[in-house]
Amino acid sequence: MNRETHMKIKATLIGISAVLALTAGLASFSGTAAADPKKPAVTSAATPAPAPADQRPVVKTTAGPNEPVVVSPSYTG
Amino acid sequence: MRTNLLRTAAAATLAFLLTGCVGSASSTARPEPASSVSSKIASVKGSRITVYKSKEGVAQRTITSPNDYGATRVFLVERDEGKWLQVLLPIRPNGSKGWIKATDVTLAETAYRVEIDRGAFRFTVYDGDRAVRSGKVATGEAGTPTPPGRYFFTELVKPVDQGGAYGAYAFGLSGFSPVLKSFAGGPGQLAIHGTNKPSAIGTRASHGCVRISNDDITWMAKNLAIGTPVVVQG
Repeated sequence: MNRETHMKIKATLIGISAVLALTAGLASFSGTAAADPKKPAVTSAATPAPAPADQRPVVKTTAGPNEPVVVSPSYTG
Repeated sequence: MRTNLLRTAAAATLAFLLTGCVGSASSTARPEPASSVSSKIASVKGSRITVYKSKEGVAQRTITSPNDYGATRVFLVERDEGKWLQVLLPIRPNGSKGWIKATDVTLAETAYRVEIDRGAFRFTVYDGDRAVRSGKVATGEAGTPTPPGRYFFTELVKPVDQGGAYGAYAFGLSGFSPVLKSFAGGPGQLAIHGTNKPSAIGTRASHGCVRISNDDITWMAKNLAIGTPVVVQG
């Protein structure tokens, strides 16, 4: 193996190593952890006391159709 | 030669870096899906509810439940402030609002709303931003117009006389005729209902109510809840 070939292999390995290192670095920036940074811990002092269950209105997901009332209506027609 | 190789490796690395950054930037800038338009409907828990003129203010009036048709009293929520809800009221004058305590009601949500274009004699039912049903309507005559405004369904009625003027079903509205203070023994309440005169649909023919085909009102009865918002415009 002559000196020139040796240098070629060395340069190729350096390039591949640099690409791998940068790939790993980018993955750490664009991963789930980066997109959803850890929220700071909430101290108990800042946490509002939950309202009693009977004071919180219940929100159903969807209001559905109703059974009709059978009557003779008196709307304006 | 060595320099060339090093330059090639550096260029490849730079290209890879740029590609990654662009991809990362575009995924960050991707818009969130538009949230669907929904309304809150408040159903009265007890046999009556106190309505306030302002939050924690003086009681304005008491409204009973069920209503005169025997349906659970509902309100369309215009503003939700946690313990207090500002609601559209089914009283004169049209568009009246008041505040109720959230603890006095249960809340439900609907993505449906009904829009009525008087000028075009058309109704459209939206599910969020998507039109899911539309058709022709008859509106009030010149002397008894259908007033524009924001209303909600107060009850669903199946008329005893299925061949009568109200057709297959009628949804009472929270609004009233600006002209008729009483009608047929009632308080001049507006409604969207079917008809036994389908030929009049597409014209000004009613005393203020909105008439639609029996197929359309039957579809509404099977799909829409009382409390669903109705906007009359045009």
